[in-house]
Amino acid sequence: MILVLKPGIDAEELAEVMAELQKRGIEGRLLKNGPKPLVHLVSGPTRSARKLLKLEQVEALVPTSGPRVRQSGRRFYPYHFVHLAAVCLLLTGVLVLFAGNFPPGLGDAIDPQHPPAEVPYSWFVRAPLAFVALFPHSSAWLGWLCLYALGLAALFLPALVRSNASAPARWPRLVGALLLLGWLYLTFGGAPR
Amino acid sequence: MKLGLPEHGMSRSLWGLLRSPVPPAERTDLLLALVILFLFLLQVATGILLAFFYQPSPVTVADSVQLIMRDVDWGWVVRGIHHWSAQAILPLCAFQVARILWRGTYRGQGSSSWSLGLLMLLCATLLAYTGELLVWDQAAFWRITRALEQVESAPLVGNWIAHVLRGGDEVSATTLSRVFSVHSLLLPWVLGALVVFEGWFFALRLRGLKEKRA
Repeated sequence: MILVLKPGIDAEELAEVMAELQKRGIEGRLLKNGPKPLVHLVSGPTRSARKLLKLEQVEALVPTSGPRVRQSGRRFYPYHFVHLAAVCLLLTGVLVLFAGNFPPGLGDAIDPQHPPAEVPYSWFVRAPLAFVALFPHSSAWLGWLCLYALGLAALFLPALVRSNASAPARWPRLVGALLLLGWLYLTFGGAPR
Repeated sequence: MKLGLPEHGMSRSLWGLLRSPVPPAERTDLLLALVILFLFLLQVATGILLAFFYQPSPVTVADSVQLIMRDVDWGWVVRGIHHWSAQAILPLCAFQVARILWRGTYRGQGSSSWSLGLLMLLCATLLAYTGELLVWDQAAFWRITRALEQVESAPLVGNWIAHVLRGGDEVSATTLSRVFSVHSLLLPWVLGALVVFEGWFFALRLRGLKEKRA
C-alpha cells in the first residue's frame, strides 16, 4: 500500500505519521520525489494502515495488491511490458536458431514441361485446396462455394449466435472443434490437385 | 530517473494507455496480440532488408536469393527470420481466433476482435503463400500454376483473381512480378491496417472498462 500525504507538510508532521506506523508495526519508506510525499508500506500488518486515514496529514491510501487490485488488473507499463519484452527476446532467439539450423532453401530450376508427381503445397494452404479437390473437376465451384459460406458464417458468427453473455451457446465450440479436426485431417491426409 | 507525465495531446493519451490497468481476463489476449504485432514488425523490417537485394525476374531471382544467402552479411539470418516468423505468425493468429471462439467472447465488444482476427489470419496466410512463391523454383512454379487452375473454378471472383495474378494465359515473368507486388506492396498494408484497427478497438475496450469502474 502507498500512503499519500498532504502536500507541504513539515518534518514534524511527517515524523508523527512515521511514529504512528512504527506503533502499528508497519515498515514504511518515504518517497519525496513527487509533489506529494508518499510512504510505501513495505511490510507488517499493512491492512491496519486504513486507520491512519483519520490523521489530518494523510490524504489517501492507495492499495498495490489485494482482491480489488487483482480484479482491476496491473498496469500495462511496466508490469506486462516487461513480460512482453522477455517473450519477444526469447522468440527472436528461437527464430535465429531456426534460421541457422533450418534455413529456407532454393529448389531446382523450373521445368515447365515436367510437372512433379505431387505438387508440394505448404501446410497452411493444403486444407482448402484438398477440400476443393474432394469435388470432381467439373463441380469444383461447389467446393469453393462451401468455403465461401464457411468464411461468411465465421465472419458473421457474432450476429448468428443469440445466446446471452452469462450462458454462451455451446454449438459454436462444437462446430469449431469439428472444423479444426477436419482442417487437420485435410492438411496431413488430404490430396490437393 | 524521473518519469514525468506528458501534459498535452497524443503523447498524453498514449502514455495514459500504456499506464492503463489490464484486466486479468484480457491479459493473455493482449500479450498474444502484441507478440503477433512484434512478429509482423519483424517481418516488415526483414522484408525491407531482403527487398534491397531481391530481384523479381525469372532470370535473376535464383542468383539474387543465393546472393542473400551466401554473400550478403547476415543475409541468411534475415531471410531465415523472415521465413520462420511467417510460419510462426499463422498458428498464433489461429490460436487467438480459436481462443476467442472457445471463450465465447466473439459477441458484444469482442465481435471486432473476432472479425479482425479472422481477416488477419486470412491475410497472413496469403502473405506466407505469396512469399513462398518468390523463390521461383520448380516447386513454386507448379504451386502457383496448379493453385491458379483451382482458383479459376471459384465462383464470382475466381476467374478474375487468376487472370490478374497470372497476367496472361500462362504463368510467366509477369506472374512473378505481380506476386511480388501483392506480397510486398498490397498485403502488408492490409495486414498493418487490420493490426491498427485491432489495437484501436482494444484501447477503446480498455477505456470503456476504466470508465465503467470509475
